[in-house]
Amino acid sequence: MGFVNSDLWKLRQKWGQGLTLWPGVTVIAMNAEGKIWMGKRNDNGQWAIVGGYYELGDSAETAARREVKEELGLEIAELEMIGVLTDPKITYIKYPNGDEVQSPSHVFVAIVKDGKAHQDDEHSQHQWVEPEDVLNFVTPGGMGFTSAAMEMYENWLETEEFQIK
Amino acid sequence: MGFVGSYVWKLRQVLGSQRILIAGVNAMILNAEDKIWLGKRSNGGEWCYMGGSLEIGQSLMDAVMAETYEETGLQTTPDDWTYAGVHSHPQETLYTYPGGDEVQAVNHLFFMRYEGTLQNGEDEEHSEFGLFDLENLPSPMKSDAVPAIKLLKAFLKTGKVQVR
Repeated sequence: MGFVNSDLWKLRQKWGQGLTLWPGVTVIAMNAEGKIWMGKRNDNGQWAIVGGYYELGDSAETAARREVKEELGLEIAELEMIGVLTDPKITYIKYPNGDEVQSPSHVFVAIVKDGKAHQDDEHSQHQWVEPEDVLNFVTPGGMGFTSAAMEMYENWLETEEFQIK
Repeated sequence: MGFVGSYVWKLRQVLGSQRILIAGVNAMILNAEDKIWLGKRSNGGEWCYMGGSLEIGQSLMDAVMAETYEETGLQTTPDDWTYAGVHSHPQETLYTYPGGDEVQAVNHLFFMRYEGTLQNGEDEEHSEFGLFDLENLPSPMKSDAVPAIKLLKAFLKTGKVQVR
């Protein structure tokens, strides 16, 4: 779902814009060619991989599947959790509207089913990117989730160990 | 920290008892014979391992070390802990506190080996502590602790981080 009416949005109606803790998911979504989906977000104008927040009633996996479905319009063929990103410096976000959140995030790798990704209403454009090019799209000092998730992914490929950061 | 002044406490001042989503840590402390330390919670009388919810500015590792210290006085370092799994099953992690506060937790399981004895730390949250065989847990257990211990057993058996 979009932000309005999400469970975090409902919390905001009473709590205001102040710093809140809200778990989320970050998903490295790949197509069959091994390219990674990136979208240019409307909220801050930056390129990022798939990410979003839990809803009440979600498990980590249902949250990951929903976010990929919303952002790409595609179903997931294979899904694996490769780590958790919890460093408060990386997981802190201040949105242009002033909302502040610290969002510890599960990091997944997903292989999506064949198909053309749609253009959702939270992004102005999207692109399939070679893994080694992902960081070139990231605004310096910007979306820390994307950079950190990619670093975890490289370490995971190398060590096959669950990553904690 | 104790409940008063914590992030969840601040939320409760604004939201009341309604269901909220939190990120939690489960601090599972076992001896070499795979017996687990559990505490009997003064509030409600249920048995559970140590743990709690993340505070603003903490990493999960910060939280697991802080909760363990506050509940037992045991000082640990990141090297002591092994990450064992994620417990996010929304029905299993739903919990209602004795006062009526409802939470859905996304819990992260950390485990460590320890051969000493545990007792109350500064928070004095427990009426007693005990060391229990994983196959013979006391009663009543906190409801989300039973499936979480199942995940821990699967981790101990396979060495694979569990995701549920």
